[in-house]
Amino acid sequence: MKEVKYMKKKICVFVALIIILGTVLTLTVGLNVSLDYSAHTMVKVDLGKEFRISDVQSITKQVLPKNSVQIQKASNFEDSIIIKTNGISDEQKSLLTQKINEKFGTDISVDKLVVEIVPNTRLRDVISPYIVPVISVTLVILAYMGIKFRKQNAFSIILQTGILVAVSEWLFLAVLAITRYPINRVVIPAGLMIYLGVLLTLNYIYEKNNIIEENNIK
Amino acid sequence: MKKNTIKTILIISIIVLLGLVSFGGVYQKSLNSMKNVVKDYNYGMDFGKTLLIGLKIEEKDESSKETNEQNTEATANSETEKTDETAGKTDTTEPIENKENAEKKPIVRNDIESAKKKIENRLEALGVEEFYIRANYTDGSMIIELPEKTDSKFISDITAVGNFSIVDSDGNFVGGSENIKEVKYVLDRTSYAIPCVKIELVFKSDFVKNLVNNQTSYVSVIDDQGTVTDKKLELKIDESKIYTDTAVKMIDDIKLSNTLTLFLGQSGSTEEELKEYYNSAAILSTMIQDGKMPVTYKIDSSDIVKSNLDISSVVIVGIIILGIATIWAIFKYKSKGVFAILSLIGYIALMLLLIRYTNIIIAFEGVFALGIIFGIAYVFNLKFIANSEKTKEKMIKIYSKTLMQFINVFVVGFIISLVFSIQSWVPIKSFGTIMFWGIIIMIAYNYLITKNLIESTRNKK
Repeated sequence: MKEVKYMKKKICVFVALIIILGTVLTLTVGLNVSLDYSAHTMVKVDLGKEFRISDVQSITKQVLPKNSVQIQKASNFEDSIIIKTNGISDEQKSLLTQKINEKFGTDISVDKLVVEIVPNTRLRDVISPYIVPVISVTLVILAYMGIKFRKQNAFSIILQTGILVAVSEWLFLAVLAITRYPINRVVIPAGLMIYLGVLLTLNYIYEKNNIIEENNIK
Repeated sequence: MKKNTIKTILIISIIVLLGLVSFGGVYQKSLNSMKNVVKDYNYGMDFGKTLLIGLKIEEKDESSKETNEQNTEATANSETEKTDETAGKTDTTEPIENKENAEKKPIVRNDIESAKKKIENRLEALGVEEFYIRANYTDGSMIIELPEKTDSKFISDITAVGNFSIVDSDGNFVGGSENIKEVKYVLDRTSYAIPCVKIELVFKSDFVKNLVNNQTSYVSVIDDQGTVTDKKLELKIDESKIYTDTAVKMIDDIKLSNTLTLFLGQSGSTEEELKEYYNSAAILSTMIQDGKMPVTYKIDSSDIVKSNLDISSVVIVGIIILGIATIWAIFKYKSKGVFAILSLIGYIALMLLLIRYTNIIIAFEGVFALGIIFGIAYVFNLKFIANSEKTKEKMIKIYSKTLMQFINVFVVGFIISLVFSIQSWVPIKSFGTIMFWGIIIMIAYNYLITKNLIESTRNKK
């Protein structure tokens, strides 16, 4: 029993350290926002023929070795290449054109590349549609839990659930900040999954305790 | 014993059939090729195609251009300053010649922010359920990301200036968005002989009071030859007339309840046309309510871009997880574990078919919801087996007991799914609707299929 308590304490200290470190990093260095949301350069190449993403990937690896790159197919016939990257020089543009012409047997000149600076999507704009539904759902669930587990010290259960949900999300964000994992399209659903996972697991545990308690009374 | 074997074979056949239809498809000959007749998935922007619209600020002095356009007739009459008594404000305009010499308007962050908000409102009014707007506050340019299926007819409306004005026959400005208290629009199917789309403009009381006080200046004029000229009032959005009537009649209509009702639609309109009228009404109402854009945008580029996320990579991850889960289930429950996984595969197949036929849009959030639902189904099946091994009770009792152990999970999941599925934002809605159907189908499926499958394995033992 003592060992379990000691272990719990150890985990709490470890989690607190990660959260503090992650928060400090977020406030000072910021999060590593991926090309999905950060400002970037978009290069469009009208190839005029079908292509494989992997072929373009091998070219961009040579031309833009240090950059983050995303490649997409564009136009109705999917015969245009969209290369998203965090910057491209004139030299890299001509090398890119040259490599594309070599690979696909085309005759595209550098001035045919459409280069656009794409502004960032604000993270608060991305998060804002989730705020009201998540808060309202949390309140309803906490109220439900308060009623359901009224015999098991409802207040403590509500408080415990609220804290655990908040801590798990905060921990998730801190881990992202520490590992410099890019904030991309997967992060929000993953956060949502953690939120739901914590709520469902806690409810499962409380329900189990409830059944055990009821059986003991019987 | 024989009855049980038949039952097991029947259930397994159902699962195999579900799997074949859902994972493989049903193929029919169409022209010279085989075509899968099972409905396709409806992908959101995460896995489908996105319409990228690039907007740039028109390099003209927009404010002076619009003012000049609004008062073209007045300017033509060399009227450089006029007082609009009805609106109770002074409007100063410059001659057209000065327009060319006007200096380029500096880009103000608040203007871009306000334009972005107005575009957002218009998109929401059109019912676009997922969009992202990237604004560059240095040059004012914007990139709007929309689902590919967005009706292209309304793209120009989304970026229009949307300057609402009421002008009289002489081109004098009578009122604008600032005189509007509220705009409502509705598709009315019951009040009239034919269904129509109604826009109700509710004016501010002081504006209506001014209009009524000046009603005498709008009465019809009779010239020397006895020709009667009715003075008219026109409602305009930018340079397009949206409604015209004699001034006296329009004022009479407005003064009854400070409201002017405009109708869109005509007899014999199809459902599709009515929907188009409704969308037009939504855009018009939002423009009137929000007022004009502080900057004028032009569409600079338009591209259809395919997502770089491939659903097949999600499927591969899913198969790997299912493989690990299968090994664990067989390791823990031997042959019963196989049945638990078989039942789970049937459930996955059924859910995927349901997603196709209920037109649920698959966003990333939806994929995660599927992961959660399948995870719960897996744990439920294993718990069901564990419970069945512990007791010799009837299967229906064991099923109820297992269900009660999970009831809290289902209730919490159901609350989340209900709230999320009524949201309009596609990623949240996708998560909610998949959870919603996932829970309902899981309860019914486990009762009909899993219970009977586990029962047959128990009897064999």
